[in-house]
Amino acid sequence: MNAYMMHLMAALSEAGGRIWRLADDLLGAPADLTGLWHHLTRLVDSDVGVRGFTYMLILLVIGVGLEWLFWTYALPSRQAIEAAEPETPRRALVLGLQRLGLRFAGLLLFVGSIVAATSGFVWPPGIQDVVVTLTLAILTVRFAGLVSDFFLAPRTPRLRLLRMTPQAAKRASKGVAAVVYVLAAGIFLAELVDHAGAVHLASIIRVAAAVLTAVLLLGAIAAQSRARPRVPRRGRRLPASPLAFMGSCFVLGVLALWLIGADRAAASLIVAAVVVGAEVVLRDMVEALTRSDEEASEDDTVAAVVSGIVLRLMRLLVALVGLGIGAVIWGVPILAMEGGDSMGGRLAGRILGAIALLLITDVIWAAAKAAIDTKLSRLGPMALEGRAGPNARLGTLLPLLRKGFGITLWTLALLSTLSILGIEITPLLAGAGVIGIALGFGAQTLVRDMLSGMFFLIEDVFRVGEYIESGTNIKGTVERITLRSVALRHHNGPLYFVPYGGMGAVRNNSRDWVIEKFNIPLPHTVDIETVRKLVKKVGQKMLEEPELAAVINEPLKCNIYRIEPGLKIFRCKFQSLPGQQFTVRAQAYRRIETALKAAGLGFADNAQKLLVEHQGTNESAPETISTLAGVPPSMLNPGAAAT
Amino acid sequence: MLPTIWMRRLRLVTGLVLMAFVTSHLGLLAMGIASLHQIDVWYPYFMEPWEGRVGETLLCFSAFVHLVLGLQSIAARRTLAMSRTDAVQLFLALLVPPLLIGHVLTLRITGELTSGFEAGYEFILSVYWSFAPLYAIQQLLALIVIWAHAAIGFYGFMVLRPIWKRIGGLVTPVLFAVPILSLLGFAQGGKETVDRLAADPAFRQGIEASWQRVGEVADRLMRIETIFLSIYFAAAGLAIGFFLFRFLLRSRATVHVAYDGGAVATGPKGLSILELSRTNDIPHASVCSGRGRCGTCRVEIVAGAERLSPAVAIETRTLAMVRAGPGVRLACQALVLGEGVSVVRVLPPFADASAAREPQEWVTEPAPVVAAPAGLDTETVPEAAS
Ligand code: FES
Repeated sequence: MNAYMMHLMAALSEAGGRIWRLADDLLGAPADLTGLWHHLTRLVDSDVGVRGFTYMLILLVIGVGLEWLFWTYALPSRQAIEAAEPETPRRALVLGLQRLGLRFAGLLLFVGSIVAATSGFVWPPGIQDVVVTLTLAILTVRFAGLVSDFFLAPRTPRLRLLRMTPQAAKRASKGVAAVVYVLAAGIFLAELVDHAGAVHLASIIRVAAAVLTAVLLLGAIAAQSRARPRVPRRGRRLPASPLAFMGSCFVLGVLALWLIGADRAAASLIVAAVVVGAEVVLRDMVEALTRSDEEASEDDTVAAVVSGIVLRLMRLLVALVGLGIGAVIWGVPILAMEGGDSMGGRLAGRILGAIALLLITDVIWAAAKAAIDTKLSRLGPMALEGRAGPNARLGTLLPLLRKGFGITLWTLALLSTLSILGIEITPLLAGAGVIGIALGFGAQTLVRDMLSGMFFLIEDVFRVGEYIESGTNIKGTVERITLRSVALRHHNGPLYFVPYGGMGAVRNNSRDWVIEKFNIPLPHTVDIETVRKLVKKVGQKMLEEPELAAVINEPLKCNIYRIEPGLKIFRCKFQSLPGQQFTVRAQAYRRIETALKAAGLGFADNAQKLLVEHQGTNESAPETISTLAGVPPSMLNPGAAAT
Repeated sequence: MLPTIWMRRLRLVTGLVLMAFVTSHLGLLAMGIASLHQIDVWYPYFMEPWEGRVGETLLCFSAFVHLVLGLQSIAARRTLAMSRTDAVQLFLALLVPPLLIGHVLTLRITGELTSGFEAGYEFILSVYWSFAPLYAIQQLLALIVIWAHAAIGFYGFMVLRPIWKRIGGLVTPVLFAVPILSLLGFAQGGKETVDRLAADPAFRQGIEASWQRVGEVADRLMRIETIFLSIYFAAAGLAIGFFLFRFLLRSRATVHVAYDGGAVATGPKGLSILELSRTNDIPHASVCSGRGRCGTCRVEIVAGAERLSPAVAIETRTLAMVRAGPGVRLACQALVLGEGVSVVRVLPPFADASAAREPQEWVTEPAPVVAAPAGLDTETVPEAAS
């Protein structure tokens, strides 16, 4: 408690000192200004100044000349890019990148040639630093302009990456330019002034630049909140006013922190804000890219996968860069983090590592999930016309795979994170091992179920939608496959949950084909060959009907099977797709009946059997009974009629 | 008043004369890289032609005419929408007289005002490097400003000529070598002069004597300079004021121009089509940036031809040069005076100077017919199109 108080007091007195120094600077600045003016005039009013200025002009001509030469060749490409009409945002992004590359090449040529030419001169003392600082300033300002143009593209709406109106883009790019100029003045001008010995003036310039930047940002926030549409946008829970208020508070807070000398805290806050802002912007961009791509091509789900991964990779990159900058700001040696002696440094390094690991895990997870989901969405329907489709197994396995992969990945990541943070995970793992053994004994059946389930699936024993019969005589259509059991819907309705462990031999009725056989008893008087041909013709007729032909593999045939007293039993057979045999069989019966009738034949009936039993007692009885049965006696029993 | 085409030509020719002078002046300065002595040796070849009566008259006339015509072109501007190069050139042009006047007056008038003044390179280098280095800064700025202005104009003029294809590779480096070499010569000569001033008292005395003379007439020089500058600023202010006056008082009516590809430009009545393209960020080729010399900005007028200003001499000449068909106008010359104008850009926006040098290479086939030809079954049209 006391230590904290001491710290606080020290910080407060430090801040107070800083404020006093600021006042000092303010008082000392005018004197500095006149001193600087004298220094400058003395410098310029001498051959040293003239020489330095001449050389600088030469450098300028060289730089501008080379860049101009570059543009005489590159300008048509740039104009072509700016005039292009990209169909998709992705194309626009590519074009924007190309434009950025071209302009960056020009800038590089400018700065590079200047820097290279600098070494060719013998500079009067003190001038070279000025040249380097000026070159750096030009590089910074122009580079910031390039980047801002890349995102905002105020004059080429087709290449704009952020969704905003042309007016808004123009305003934004002007604002960015203003902030950049002010900041560049605060950094480079102050450095030059500092270099000339005017310390107070440099400090005042810095403060002025910071305050001006804050004012510009506040103005931007105010303009933004006024321009915000009244209709709340989807996904933004906070109404406009708190955001603007919080933003203003943030800007003022950072400024205040910087003013009282807490540079590191201020810089960290700025970095954090930039990271958050970049994240929002990137998400917006990636979202825009994917959405319109989906419109462009319906089934191009690769784009979705890629965008998911890209978004996370970008997030990872942004976060890592932000963390890296934060580490640099706080003076944490990134490479020597483990070996660092300071407690805070070690902790910071570990936290950085843990965050990085989690972000990387997130990237991998997104990639795997997106890949699996894409595959799943591409599978199409699981079942075709009641049959299990060829993709049914993938459809059952992939979600399991995704779940398993996710659990493994995140468990590993979590354990690694713990270990990075310095928490010993060995006892944890050992404990998990002991518990695992205990659980293993208790949950033997569970493990058995899961393992055999895995093999059932790998060996493709059944898929969703197939009609199977387990070794325990439970029949049904596979409705759901889980880690431990399968749900079978009996054809009468009840749903059985069968654990894999107890399934035993499985009879799958829905694979490839089935052969269906059935008998037709005919009176013994019919001619075998006639019936065979008749049925064969029926079989051919059935093939002519498209609906039936689609499910029949081998046509209906029949042959004599058995002869019983008074009966000839024919056996018919056909091969069809699984599950279809019943319909086909009914159709076959119906057609055979019709065909028999047309040929003047009929099925055997039980009436004849009666006749056989009563043969000895009454001669005339057969006629009576067969008449009753509705069949002409001559047909039924030609032999008896002959006698 | 002269017709525009003649004013342009005059501006061009006087500009070329001035540039020739500046080039020989700077070329002589570049000799300073070798030694001060070389400057003396080469002086007759580089500078003497300009010091005779003819040369001097031509130079003065050119400077005056170029300045006046330049100011006139500012006054005649319709809008500030121009290419960046043009803006730079214009801005630099305005800087030239104030930067240069001291140099010219000191060297040209001092001799007339007092006797025994000898303006040579030694003297001027001594002044710049030792007596009044501040003037050197001004002079260096003038050098860069003048050369940049001249080079931009020269390049813009030459790049459209067919000959540029052959000499361009040679001339462009020269455009950059001249200022670099002359600056190097200036630095080298300055070093030599400073050394000599320290080592050679007689030389120093001579220079000091001349400097004394200049000091004696400084007041009068100053007065002349003030008068000149007041006139110049008044004239420039007048030109700019005239432009602003027209700019602010121009008709408030807005017009729309439709382009191929569905773009529509909106702007005040009385601007040229090209200026409308620029203010609306519509990509439009314009290699000569609206001077009416290249023909790359030409457009086919689909509708509203009667609501454009009639073609003037510059335009018809350029159109004939690029062998444009009927119904084609230069976007930089045709002013939009009413609604309902619809145009098709003939050249792609990225057309470069070669499109002006070899127009036949860039001419595309006539624009596709939008309406279905008569006699075609309406139902087959979409299929035929796809
Ligand atoms: S821009 Fe060159 S002719 Fe119009």
